[in-house]
Amino acid sequence: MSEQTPFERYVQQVLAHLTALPDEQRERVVRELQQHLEDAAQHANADPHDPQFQHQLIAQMGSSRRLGRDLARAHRPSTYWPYRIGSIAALCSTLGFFAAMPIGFLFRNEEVVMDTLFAVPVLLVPTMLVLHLIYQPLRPQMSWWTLIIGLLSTFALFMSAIYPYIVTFSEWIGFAHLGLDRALYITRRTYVFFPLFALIGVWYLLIGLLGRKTHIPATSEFSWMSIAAGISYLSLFLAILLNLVLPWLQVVQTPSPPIVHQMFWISLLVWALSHMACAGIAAIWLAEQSHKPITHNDTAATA
Amino acid sequence: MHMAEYRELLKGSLDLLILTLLKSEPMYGYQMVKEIHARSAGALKMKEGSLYPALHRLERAGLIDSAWQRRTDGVDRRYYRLTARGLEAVEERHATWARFVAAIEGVLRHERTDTI
Repeated sequence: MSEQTPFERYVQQVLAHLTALPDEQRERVVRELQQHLEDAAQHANADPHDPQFQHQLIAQMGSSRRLGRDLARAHRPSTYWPYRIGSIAALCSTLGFFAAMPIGFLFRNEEVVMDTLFAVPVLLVPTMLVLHLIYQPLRPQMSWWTLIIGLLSTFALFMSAIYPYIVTFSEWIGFAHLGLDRALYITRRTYVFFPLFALIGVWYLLIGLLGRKTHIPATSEFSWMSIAAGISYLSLFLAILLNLVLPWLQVVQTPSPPIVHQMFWISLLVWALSHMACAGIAAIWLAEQSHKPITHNDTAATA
Repeated sequence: MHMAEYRELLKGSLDLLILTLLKSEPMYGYQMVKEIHARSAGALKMKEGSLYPALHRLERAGLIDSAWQRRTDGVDRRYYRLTARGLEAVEERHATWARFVAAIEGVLRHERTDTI
């Protein structure tokens, strides 16, 4: 197998950002860049196969990452159905969460509403951080409104996952009136929460599949974890649905048959592991970014 | 030579430069890079890669279109040319640019008068 020339490597690096494009268009990009090399060589009276000349041209062309991302942005469809469906799912999940507040207010205790409002500012900062880590690498493929909806979705996830702990902590430091019992009110009411799992599952799944499709290096591991998280959310949804619906339909005698219990706990385990892995990968990625040497091409203005 | 400052200014005006070049004749990528360099007497030297995203974006916007053509030297090149919409756009952008330059120039002239 022959070794790649510097320019071939450069073109491959550009193409790594264009995996969402049809093969025909990728081929056009390759052909055009190749032609640019030959034109430049002809103009400079140089050999286009000379590695030194190719390095010089690459320096004139600018960062392959920036060129790839700019080309991806230039070809980004104005409406792309996975974003649309994912965004709608995320929006519904967010609305579903906030719908829990008035439901809590109407049926049980208005302090649930107050507790939720208390948790909002506390959770906003980590939500912003997670959003930055998870969605930033996908920015060239996503429009601003999908990012905002992603923010809302991530925020809802944080609320659902950490909310009881925040309130428990507040009780520990002296805000006893908030109370663990009331804090767990929402999470105990699965009939309020379980549709949220399905919608979050769809969102995670779509983000994961999108990451696989675009092959953005920073998110390739995250994509698999995101897919796992999506599947686990959906299986959680299914377990709870079965737990609620089967007894109601009188298909089974007991309210929670063992298979549903097992499914629930396995889903919960996958959910927890995938979330921990996502957080770990995000941390590693952030560490890599902070230690990455800044190259001349990355810092140079590209016209 | 204030190359870095020129690059910053060039970022916002690359579309206008491309459309203007194509108003005179169809061109291919490398030809445009050299033409911009030559017409600006070497002042505007761009990162050559940045031309292609701009070309693809303008093509998707319907302002230009492209086709592979064989030149007399037997080599195929992707030539870009202005569409009817592109021709309208270049006229509008020229007018906008002229107003912008006049406005900036007005401010600068005022500043120069004040400092004399």
